[in-house]
Amino acid sequence: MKYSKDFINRLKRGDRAAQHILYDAISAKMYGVCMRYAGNPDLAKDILHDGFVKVFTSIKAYRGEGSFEGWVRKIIVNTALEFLRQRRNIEEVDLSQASFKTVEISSVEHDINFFLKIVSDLPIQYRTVFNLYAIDEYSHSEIAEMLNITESTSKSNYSRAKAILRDKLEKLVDFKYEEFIR
Amino acid sequence: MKSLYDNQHEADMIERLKSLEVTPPEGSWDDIQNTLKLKRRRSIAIFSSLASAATVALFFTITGINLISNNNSTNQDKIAISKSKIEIPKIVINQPKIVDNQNSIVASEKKYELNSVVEREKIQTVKESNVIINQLEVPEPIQTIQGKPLKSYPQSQVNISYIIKSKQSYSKLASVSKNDNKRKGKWFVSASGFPVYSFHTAGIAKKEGTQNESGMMSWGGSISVSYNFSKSFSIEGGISYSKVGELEKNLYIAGTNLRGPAIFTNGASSTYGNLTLNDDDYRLLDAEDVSSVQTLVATNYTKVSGSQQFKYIEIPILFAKRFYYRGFKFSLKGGFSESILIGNKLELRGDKINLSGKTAGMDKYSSSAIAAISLSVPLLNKVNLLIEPNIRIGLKSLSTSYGKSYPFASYIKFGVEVPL
Repeated sequence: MKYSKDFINRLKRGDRAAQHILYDAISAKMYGVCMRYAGNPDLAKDILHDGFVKVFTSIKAYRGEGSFEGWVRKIIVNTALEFLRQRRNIEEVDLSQASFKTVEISSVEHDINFFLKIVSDLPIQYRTVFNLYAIDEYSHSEIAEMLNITESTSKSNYSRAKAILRDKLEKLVDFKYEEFIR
Repeated sequence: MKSLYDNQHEADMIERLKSLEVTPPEGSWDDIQNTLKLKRRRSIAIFSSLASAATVALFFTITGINLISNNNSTNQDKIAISKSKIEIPKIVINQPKIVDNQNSIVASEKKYELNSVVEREKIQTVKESNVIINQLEVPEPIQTIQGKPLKSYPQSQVNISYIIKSKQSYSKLASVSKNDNKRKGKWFVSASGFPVYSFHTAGIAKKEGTQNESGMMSWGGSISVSYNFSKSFSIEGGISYSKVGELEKNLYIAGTNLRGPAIFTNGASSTYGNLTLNDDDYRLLDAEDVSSVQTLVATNYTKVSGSQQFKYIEIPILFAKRFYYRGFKFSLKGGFSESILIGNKLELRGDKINLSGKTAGMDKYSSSAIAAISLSVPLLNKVNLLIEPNIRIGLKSLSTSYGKSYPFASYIKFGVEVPL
């Protein structure tokens, strides 16, 4: 969706109606982003709240370069990272001790819910790197800067995340096939 | 069995996650809107406070500069009448003698009779033409202007009444000015006591996690020595004692017979640090612990309020700029202080229970920035009453889980100041 200059100017003036229109248009997408990073709905709601407040209060900084939705998405992602950093989860996660929760495949009704669940169940640093690299398309050097880690740590976190996801996807695919032939 | 999984499934998952849309919970938009409204109100309040503070600061600065420039001019021992159309570079008046022992003007009307060749209408009044009386010595007679003898000029045009009417205020100013000149290069010592209000910035901003915390009132005292290294500037140091901290509500004391995660913590958290009890027979929990501990089986636990008290000895270094207004001396002060924590006490009071403990994780040494405005009022001979509102803010943030918060204390010093 492309936003007109006039609409952006209304947002810059703090027009409540325009803010509501924007929220209605993109809140579901942005809440999806929040869910991916947060891993639980409560935290995702807080991220969405703070993210949108930031969007509306710092909208004057938007100079029309690049897509507006991309700019909003960036703010939401940064807010999610701030939340995770504040909770010290990223710094404190002990990857060697990380235990991976078991996914009850039989309870998965829709693939997307399953995908979201297996991503949420990743240890937080793996999840963050996976989201940033595979879905939000940041480079490893950008991720290293954002998370204050080295580029090689980012790469290794990503490949471990991928391995865990692949393992769970394999189980889902095999399970579905067995269900199908039964 | 060979897995049926291939990379297509992974690509599919990533694509679907990229376009993931989840409807936000109900009420999210209302929450956002409320926060925006609150932010707007807060920014208006901050702007108004800053504007008020700036206005007050501007008023004092302008008044100060005005008075200081008057004082500087009076030291030139000259009376000058400037004129718009006819050049009168200087009127030099000899034979000073109008200051009596009380520094008041006792000039007779005759002494102020100015002679001039200029037209009456063109002469400005004494007030308008910046007649500056220096050290209150207004001599006579007038010599010449540009070599010509001066004719008699009625005093009414010179508005001597202004000076006479202002006799009293000039007398006051002279008193301060004279004292100030005496005090240049001098040492002063002051002693004061003060009520202190202390808290931290996140608590004032009502950040999440500070809802059970509030500021604390207590007392302090200080002894200071200042040195006037120029007519308007001085440096001040000394030693100060103060008790600061915060109050905490919604805390719970339980016996050790409780189960659940809280049993391992033995303490509630606060912005300053974890609260710990001296008595091992009890456990201290905060409201969050009590509500989250599903397995809490304490047979009895009671609600208490706490006060975290930190006693500091502080060594400040301040620079001060003095100015005068209506006979009173004001000083704008700014500087830094180094504090040493000498007492760390937690007091818990509830129904039939009083316990003590301390706050863990407090730094032994800390640095702060100080700003103050001081008013000095002559009280007795050589003794001034000192009234000095101060604000002191810590330079290092407290280690909080929700972002930065700086401890601060605001206090009004009441004391006396004497020259050494």
